[in-house]
Amino acid sequence: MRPRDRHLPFREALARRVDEPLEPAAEASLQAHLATCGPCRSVAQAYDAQRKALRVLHAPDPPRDLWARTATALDHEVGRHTRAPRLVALGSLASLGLVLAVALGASGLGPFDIAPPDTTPFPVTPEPVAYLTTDGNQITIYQTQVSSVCPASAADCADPGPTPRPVARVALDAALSPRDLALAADGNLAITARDDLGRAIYSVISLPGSEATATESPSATARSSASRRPGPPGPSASLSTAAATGQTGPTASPSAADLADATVQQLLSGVIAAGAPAAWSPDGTILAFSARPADGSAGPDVYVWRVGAPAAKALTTDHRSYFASWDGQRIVVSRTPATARPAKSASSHPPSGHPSATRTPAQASAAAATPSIVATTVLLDAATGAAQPVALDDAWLPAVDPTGHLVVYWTGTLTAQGPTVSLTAGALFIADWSAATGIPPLATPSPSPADTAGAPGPTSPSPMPSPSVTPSDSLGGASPTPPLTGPTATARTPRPSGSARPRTSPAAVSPSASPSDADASPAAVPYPVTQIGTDVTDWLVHWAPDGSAYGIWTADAPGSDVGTLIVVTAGAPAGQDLLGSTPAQRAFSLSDGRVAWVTPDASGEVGELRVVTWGADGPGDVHIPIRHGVTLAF
Amino acid sequence: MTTDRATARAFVEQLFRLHHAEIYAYLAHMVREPETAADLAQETFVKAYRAFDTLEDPAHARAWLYQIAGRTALDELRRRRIVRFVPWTGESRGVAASAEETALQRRLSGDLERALAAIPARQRQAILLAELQELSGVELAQALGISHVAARALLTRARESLRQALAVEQAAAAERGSQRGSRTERSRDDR
Repeated sequence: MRPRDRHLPFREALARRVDEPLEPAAEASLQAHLATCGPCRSVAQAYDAQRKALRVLHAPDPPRDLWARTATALDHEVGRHTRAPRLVALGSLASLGLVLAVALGASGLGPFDIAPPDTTPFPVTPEPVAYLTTDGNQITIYQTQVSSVCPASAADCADPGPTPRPVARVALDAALSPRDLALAADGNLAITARDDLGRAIYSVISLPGSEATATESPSATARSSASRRPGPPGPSASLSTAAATGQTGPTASPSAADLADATVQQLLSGVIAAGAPAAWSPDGTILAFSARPADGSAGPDVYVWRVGAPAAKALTTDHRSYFASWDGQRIVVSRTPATARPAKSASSHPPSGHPSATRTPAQASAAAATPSIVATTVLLDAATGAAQPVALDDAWLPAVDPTGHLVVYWTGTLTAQGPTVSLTAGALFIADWSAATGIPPLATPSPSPADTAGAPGPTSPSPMPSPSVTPSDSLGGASPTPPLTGPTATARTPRPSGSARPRTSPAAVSPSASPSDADASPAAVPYPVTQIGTDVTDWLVHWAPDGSAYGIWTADAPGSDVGTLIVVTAGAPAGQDLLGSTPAQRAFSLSDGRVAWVTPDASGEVGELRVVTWGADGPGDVHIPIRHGVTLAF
Repeated sequence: MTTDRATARAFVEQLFRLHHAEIYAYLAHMVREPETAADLAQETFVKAYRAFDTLEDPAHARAWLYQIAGRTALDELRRRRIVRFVPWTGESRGVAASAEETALQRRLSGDLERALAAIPARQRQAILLAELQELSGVELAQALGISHVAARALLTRARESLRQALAVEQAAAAERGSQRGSRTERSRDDR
């Protein structure tokens, strides 16, 4: 055993003496030792200096808005305990219930004072959720971990909800409006922003700690292992607007890089976004999107950016390709005809039952003056650009589920107006993608609609965003789009006449066909074409990674960032609402067993970040207060 | 919850008025990030509201608040370690930081701050509470959530750890100074 340093007791006494006087005997002993020990005198001097330095250490001032922030959070807490929970129990008593709820809530007694079934938060698989705020020229990305939720039916739950933390902050050269986000499992965040002239800037930010965060989620670990970190950063640049660089056309290279270790890489600027929002390939190595020159000189092309590459490159050069989604490692593209050719029958394009007769005279006039077109769907090899046609002719921006089984797409009246495409009347459908492509789905397909029993598939939480689709370069109808109707309301609607989708048996698309009538084999009977929304012109689709559910957000008005979100099961049984129509900001995140979104408040501003769970975790709900600003969940 | 929530809300509001500045300063020194410190300060007062029923003696509210703040800071530091949290350092990457952040970073970037950051978080808590917040005796022990004897021992270890860490920092600074000459101070600020 090593002998104890004989100086140690004296040095401990020196440290102790800083805070309280020593016993007289101990003090005398210490002084005697100090008289003969130079190093110990140095230690004594160091303690004195340390104390002086600590005493003058600057106390940083709190931010001026600390009380405002805290008060908001406190108010939220107070509201959690005083919000009108009895409304849930009172249900359809409507306004009468509200009055009674207030009265009985005060007394705590009464016939309608039905206790909530469970007021204790329960743990769920920890999974990160993040959002982004902008403040002037600054983007801040917050992240938190949702590991417990309140029961969905609980009226008064004490779950505090996690507090998001900032994980990254980026200063921009000018104020931009982030519009779409796509997060890869390895921490690369793709941001599509707009300047005040509506021009898009595509950039990628490497989030600090994201890779490690993903390790807290089992499925995220699996995904991370399949992907790779970006290579050495290419030329990097702070986000800069096209206005700042004076560019008017596409520029597939970053602006001058003077920040060697910057984590922001600009991929493309000076363009108009077209087609679906940018999305990562399933392995997170390729970002795909489509855009056209801002000067209107040409139509859109599909661009791809490989992690580590210095810039995005155009995969197509036909100027009529719109990125739609990913199908495995291939890119799903909607393509307009080389020369606008009239549709076989314009009136046949609106889906069956669509109120085309209700078009305004201006719309009808525009439709008459501008012939409608028929879009085609192709699969592009992400490396070579080689195209393979898909027999899904009049589908627009098909969003393929990650298992390759199903697809959600828009069908309606498409008209070409110069380099842009206008969507004037249409609806969303869900159909069998594997039947259209002839490519079988993955070995673990999403549940068939023939499976009518059981809950949504088992959860395998993953932060990996699902493919998304929204028309970003379309001229939507002038009228606001009403909330989506759930598939149960219009399920099994037959394909509109004029559609071309082979390999679908008549029985499957018959109005009388039902899932239970169909052959139980998914291979034998394709998923019936089902209308899932009406009168939609501005939407966003996300699939759960396991293909068991999809979320659709529709804008309250074309171009609006505020709209309505629903989440529906894709099978087993199909068409069940996991989240009913809910006000939501544009971006949302759907993973296996949970959905996150940001609620707008009454004025359309940011309200709170919401997370709802289902499946193996059970039905739960979390409200997370967040700051105001342009905010998106992902 | 048995306590009237309005009472709890009013009490926490009063606590905020009295102690928010020192709580924020404490948290800023603990986590060394002004924005995170603000978030943690906010969280501290929200937690105080939730835990109001656990406050047995309002006379000990300050130590109780420090205990909540300390746990909140430790949770944050622990979480960073688990997820390998990398503090955002946008301002050091050529991105414009606010004047407040820049000034704070400069103030926090001395040898002492680096030495404080180098010692165990629990010891850092103890020494910050004792020196910056001037807590002592029972109050210090309450804020740390441990016994008086344990608090005294922890503080003693903290002083020794800080002394050693400071010596290391000062030696490193001297070495940098010999290598860079007059650029020493600037390099400290940019770090």
